[in-house]
Amino acid sequence: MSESIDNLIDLLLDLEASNNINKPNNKKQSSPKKQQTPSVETLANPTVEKAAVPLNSTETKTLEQIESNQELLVAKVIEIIQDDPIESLSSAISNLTEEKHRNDQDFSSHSQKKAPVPSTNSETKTLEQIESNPELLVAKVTEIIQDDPIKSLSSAISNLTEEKHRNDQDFSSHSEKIVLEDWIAKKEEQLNELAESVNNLIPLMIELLSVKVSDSQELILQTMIPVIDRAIEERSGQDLQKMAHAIAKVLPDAITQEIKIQPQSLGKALAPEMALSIEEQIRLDEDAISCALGSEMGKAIKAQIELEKDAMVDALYPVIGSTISKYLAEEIQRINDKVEKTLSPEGISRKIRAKMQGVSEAELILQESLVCSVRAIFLIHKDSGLVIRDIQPDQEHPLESDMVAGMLTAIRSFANDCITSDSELNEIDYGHFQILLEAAGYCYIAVVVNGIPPQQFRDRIRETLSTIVMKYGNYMEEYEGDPSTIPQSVNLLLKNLTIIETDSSSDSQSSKKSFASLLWLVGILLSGILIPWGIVKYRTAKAERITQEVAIQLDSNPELSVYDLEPKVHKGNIIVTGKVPSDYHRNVAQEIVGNIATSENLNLDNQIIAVNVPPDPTVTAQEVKRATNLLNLLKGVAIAANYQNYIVTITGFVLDTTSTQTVTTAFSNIPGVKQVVFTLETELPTLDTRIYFDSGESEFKKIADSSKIESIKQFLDQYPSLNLKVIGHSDRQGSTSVNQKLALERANSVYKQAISQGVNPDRLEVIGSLQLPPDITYEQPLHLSRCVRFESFIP
Amino acid sequence: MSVISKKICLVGDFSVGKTSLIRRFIEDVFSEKYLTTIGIKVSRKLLYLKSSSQEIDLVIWDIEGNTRFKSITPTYLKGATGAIIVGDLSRQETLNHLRDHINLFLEVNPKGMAIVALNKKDLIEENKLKKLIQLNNFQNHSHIINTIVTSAKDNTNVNQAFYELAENIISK
Repeated sequence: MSESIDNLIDLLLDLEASNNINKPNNKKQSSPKKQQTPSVETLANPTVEKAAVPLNSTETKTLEQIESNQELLVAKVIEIIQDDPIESLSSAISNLTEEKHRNDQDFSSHSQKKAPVPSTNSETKTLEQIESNPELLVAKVTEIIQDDPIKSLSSAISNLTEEKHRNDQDFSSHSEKIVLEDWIAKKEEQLNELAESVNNLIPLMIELLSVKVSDSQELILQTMIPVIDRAIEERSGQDLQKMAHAIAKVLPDAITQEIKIQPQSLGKALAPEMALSIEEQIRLDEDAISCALGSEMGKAIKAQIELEKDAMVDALYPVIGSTISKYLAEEIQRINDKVEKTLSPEGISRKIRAKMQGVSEAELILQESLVCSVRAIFLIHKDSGLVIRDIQPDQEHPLESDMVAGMLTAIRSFANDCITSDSELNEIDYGHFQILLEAAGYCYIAVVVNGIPPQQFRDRIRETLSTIVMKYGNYMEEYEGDPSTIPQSVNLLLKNLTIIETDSSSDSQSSKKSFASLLWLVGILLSGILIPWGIVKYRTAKAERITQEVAIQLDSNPELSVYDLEPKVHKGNIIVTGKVPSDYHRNVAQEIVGNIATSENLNLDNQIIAVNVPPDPTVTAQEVKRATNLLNLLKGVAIAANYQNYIVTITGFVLDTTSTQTVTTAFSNIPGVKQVVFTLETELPTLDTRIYFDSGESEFKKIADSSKIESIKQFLDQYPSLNLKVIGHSDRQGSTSVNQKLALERANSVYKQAISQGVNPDRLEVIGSLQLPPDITYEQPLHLSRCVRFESFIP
Repeated sequence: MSVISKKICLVGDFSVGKTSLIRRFIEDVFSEKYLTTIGIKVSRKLLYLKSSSQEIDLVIWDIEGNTRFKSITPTYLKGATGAIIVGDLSRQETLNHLRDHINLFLEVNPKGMAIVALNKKDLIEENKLKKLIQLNNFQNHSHIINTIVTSAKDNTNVNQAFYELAENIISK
């Protein structure tokens, strides 16, 4: 029996070997599965070692025979494996491997010696027995198994192994004795029979092996260890599918177990391939990974943000940054365009609007830049929240009008109830959407706008609503959910609202409008420049006129004309600057300018400074001289003035007392005159000298009277301001005409004598008088009357 | 014929099952979870009424149930043509409040019609049920169309309640 098992094993091994050798050139005999195994792999397989062993012709023959039964055997083995794959496989592999290992060595030694395999007597005997009656053996084995299968089989296996071992030794010692041909012939027979008996033996083998495994696990393990990896490898090489199938079932459990025992190691083992496997999976099914991960992505990101916000920020920064910057770039381009048009009518009107609305210009620009569109317009019944009409330009993603209207109505009611009862909710903002609400009595309009609508859009909503209420108010009031009760024209009104006209829209109407507004602007600008300019011009002209008038007035005043006074009109003031010698002059100027200021309704700012300028002595002297000359023209005035060290000394005659006053004032008023000293006489001095003549004679008596001429000279020198009258007289004898003649002759004779003696003839006046000299009477002697006398006078 | 919209309200104490009735009616689902409605939830369902061959767009206002501390805001009821007044058969006090709710609804909408829904039938034993129905019957009330025993959980009479109300408000 042991032999038969041995043979069986040998057979299997040979079969295996021959299979490997012959496969490349014997396709017919290979099983279909083996055909799949690539030939290169087979050659590379470790079993090829065996192929290197040279075989003689008989051996080859035997092997060929074996091959003829090969399919059967393979099928059988497969069957066993399939029955209880893991156990039987593992135990079978262990035995097979061990055996094969040993036989490999034996076989090679045999072949090297070129000795036929011998058999001892006993072996031959046993073999013969088995061969002759295989059924019996099977029956026996079956019987044993049935009796006490485990025990008997285990002992049998031990025996078998032992026997085999011994036989091997014997076999080698006797090998040379037996002819190879015989052995082969016998083997052939044995094989034929064995092939048949294998069928019956297989279950038994399995049992045997399993018993052996459970009995002496350690032993099996020891024998298995050195070759197990090779065995698996070999098997994988043969039939990958089967192997995979075999391992597959346990794999999940195995992995679970491994994770339980060593949670880290599996992770480590798989880690390097994770990325690759995911990649592969993505390649196979694009959506699978995203599908699996998708639902968790949100949570994962959230968790990551909680854990380390900065890392997340950094990770997203490039993406978000570029997205935002792209968006911003577009917006800025638009803003830039707007700014570039700053000085266009549009820009100016924007500036004005910004001022008027009290918002920054930038805000307006941004508002204009952001595209704004109407998403939906709802006309909603105020109480019930039922939609009367809804206009939705975007038909692809319409809003649930009933729901939106209901909720809006609820929100409005809530705001009305809880916040304030008498005001309306005007606007709801969410994200970049705005809902503009405009309510009337029984209905309200809700416009869902994407972006920021311009102010005038709200006005248009208001207008539309008021039109609707005015025309169709009663329909709104009585609305009970049937839209057919509302006239179609309401639709048209609402549809007009779907277009938001921004300032940038360039239809003809708006351009006309902007042209008109441009004209207005120019007008405003011009008037803004011209009016102030005109005012300034007018004021300047007026100021100039007043200045001139003041200057003339100041100049026409004799006291001030000498001084350089400068008037100026500035901001309702007349300013007069300059210098005058005294407060008096300052006051004079103040009076003159003050009158003009009052008439022109201006304030006077008198900035004239009074300075005591010492006047020029020569000017003063001239002034004094002028005054003296002027005064001397007066009747009864003959004065001479001497100006020295600011003092005027006046000498002379002022016969009239009133004239005295005039003279005094005149000199004291002259600037530079501090003091006036008078030595005036009110009566003219008399010259008592008389020159007498003989009766009827008019000849000047030189010897006697020359000294008298000297006295005349002296008198005139003493009173330079006075002249002398040379008055001739005659006695009362003779005729009047003779006397007249005689009197004049006598005077002339003196006159001539005086001139000859060096008296200025201009200062003398010749008069012939018929009168008696003033102090002579008729009673006095006649000769006293025949004289020439002198009388001073103011020329 | 154009679709006619009508607003109806569900009124009742908190936790009587207003939201559940609506969910059953609109989505045909029921959840044991109790979710308090805060303020208002508006839903809608398009019904086809065979009797009048009229389509009706039922805008259903789920109104926050009143509690001891907070009463129902009357403005939410404005403009409603119909109402379902809901009571919880398992909580007597909610049934006691039914009349108050009816009065409030009619005060706001004098022409309105209502259906009384006695909900949570599934929690009540058969023998008790009859008595409860008898006690809470508003059949004689001129504005009450019907009193219906419902269960949102078992889907008992939920559709009937809504359809009956819809038929009634359309026929008026």
